Amino acid sequence: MASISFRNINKFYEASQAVADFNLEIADGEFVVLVGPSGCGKTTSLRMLAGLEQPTGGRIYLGGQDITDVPSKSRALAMVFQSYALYPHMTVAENISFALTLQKVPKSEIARQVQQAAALLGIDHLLSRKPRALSGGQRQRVAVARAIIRNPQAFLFDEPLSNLDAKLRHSARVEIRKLQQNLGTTTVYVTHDQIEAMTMADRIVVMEGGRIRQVGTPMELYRNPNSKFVASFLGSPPTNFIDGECVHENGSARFVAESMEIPLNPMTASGPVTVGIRPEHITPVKTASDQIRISGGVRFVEALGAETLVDLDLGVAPAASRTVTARLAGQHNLAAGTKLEIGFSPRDMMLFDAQGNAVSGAFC
Amino acid sequence: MQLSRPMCIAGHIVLLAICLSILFPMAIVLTTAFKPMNEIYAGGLLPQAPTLENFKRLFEKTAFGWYIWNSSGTTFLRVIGQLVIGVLAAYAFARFRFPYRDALFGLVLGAMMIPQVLTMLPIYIMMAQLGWFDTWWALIVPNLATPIAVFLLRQHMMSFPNELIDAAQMDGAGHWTTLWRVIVPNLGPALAALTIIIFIDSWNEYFWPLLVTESAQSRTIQIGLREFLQEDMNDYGALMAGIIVASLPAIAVFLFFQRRVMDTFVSSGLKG
Repeated sequence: MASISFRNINKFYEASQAVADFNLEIADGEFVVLVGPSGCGKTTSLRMLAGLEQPTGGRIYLGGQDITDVPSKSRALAMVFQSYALYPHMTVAENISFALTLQKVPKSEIARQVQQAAALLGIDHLLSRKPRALSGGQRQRVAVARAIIRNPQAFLFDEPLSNLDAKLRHSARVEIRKLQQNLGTTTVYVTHDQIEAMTMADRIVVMEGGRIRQVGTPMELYRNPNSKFVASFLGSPPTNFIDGECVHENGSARFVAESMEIPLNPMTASGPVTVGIRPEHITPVKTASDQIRISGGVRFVEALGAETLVDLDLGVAPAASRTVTARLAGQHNLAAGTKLEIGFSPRDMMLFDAQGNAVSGAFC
Repeated sequence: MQLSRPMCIAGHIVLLAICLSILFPMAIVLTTAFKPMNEIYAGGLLPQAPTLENFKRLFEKTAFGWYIWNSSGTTFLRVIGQLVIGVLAAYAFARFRFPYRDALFGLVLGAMMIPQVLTMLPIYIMMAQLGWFDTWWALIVPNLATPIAVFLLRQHMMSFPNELIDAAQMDGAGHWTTLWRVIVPNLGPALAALTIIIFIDSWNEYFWPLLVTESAQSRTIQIGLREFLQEDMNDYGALMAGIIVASLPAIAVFLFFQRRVMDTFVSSGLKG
């Protein structure tokens, strides 16, 4: 177990920059998730930590030691790959023990450790099988067992759940998190799935275009995203954005989008701005006096049982952001075209300037 | 498209004719090998009084045991050499980045296009200068590497999943271990196909052994067979018996590796 430190990491592939000015400190035993859309540089960053890619610039430290130029086989890191990367010609037991075999660990000790790791993951009955005779979930467990047995300084996971079905993914998520908590091993986990990021991470690193956009605990990022990108990336369904203008008049400021008006902190700068509101913060209007009320026509309803997702046509915002999604608790019998009055509280709203950066304290 | 009946019959007649033209010479070889001397020119396909005399004469009149030993030994070493060098060179071309890599690979491919007869004379002189004339060295060393093996194995290694190689590295394997313990065990079908190609090519080679071997102790089977064709009399019975003995290893190797080769063709068809 060890801390990890990325310092000024840059990675170029010929002319294109895959990772830019990547600085990150990961504490010993921490579970950090790198999340972002495809091509954001998260896997490249992980591969540089693994030693499978060489940074163009910057240094990487593991437990205080500079490992930038250390070959991956000497880094004491274990990695679980997206495709599991099990050796097809070896049995499960041989796959799990390959690293120990190379280290020339005595056979009896290997057998003991393989049994231990396999029992931990519930695959001890599969040890003599070849990977082709395993299901996706079983392969994933073998891949994790192969990582565990090395007793590494840190685990690296590269989208390990993306090939599993939704149900299995949920249970695997819980198991990986529990396992990491039990072992206390520093973990860097790459995913493009924000649910995995939110549920597993001690801290999330949101990346876009090779750069870190924001680092924080899941709740920090959920409550206080520093940009429109982070607000849109975390949360499902994604945050609703309504484009408009900040207008000053008689010493007060308002957000204006066609006929929709929301009072703003007078300190907010004039100009084009965007309001963000999460679907779960939109409620059908009943009482709350401080709510901002707005009515819209129901366009589409997705009844999920415990909650209902309603797409509403507000008819007040510019065409590009005319539709918002509300996540309403319980079941709602709403037909398309029905008028629905909804409301949201200013304290749940987010404001972003024309560059997409969050404007703090904008709502009174 | 459904062929009309007359077209179908015509097609079958053509195919049958082709089959017979291939099988008939083989049948003659097989039956002649078991015919006594006096029946060979008598006509009739099947031997009236089948005999193993021809096989006996094969070993009595020539050093056929030596020929088998030489052919087997040199072919075995050539197959091993070509596979090992092919695997190593293919890994370098597929996995390493080094200056002029593509140009060098172009040279390897270019070597495949050069007719063997053009290189024979310079290599012959080289063998003479090295004093390897009439030894196994001359039969093996000039044929220890083959561009086709490098080319085929490189293609297979380039399509080998990168994540498996990455996983091996993370498990602590260097290039050597990764190559022999992770990549090669998964190249079975390609190696089986190559083994057959190299074996048959090496086993059947005629011209080069004819040039560089002289004594009976270093001759190969294909050269040895010629001894039954003499100016005064051709011993066709022993020749045919020799052809059968010479064909058996090639057939055995083909049958042994056939299944795995078929796998290669099947999967390459699917992937293509």
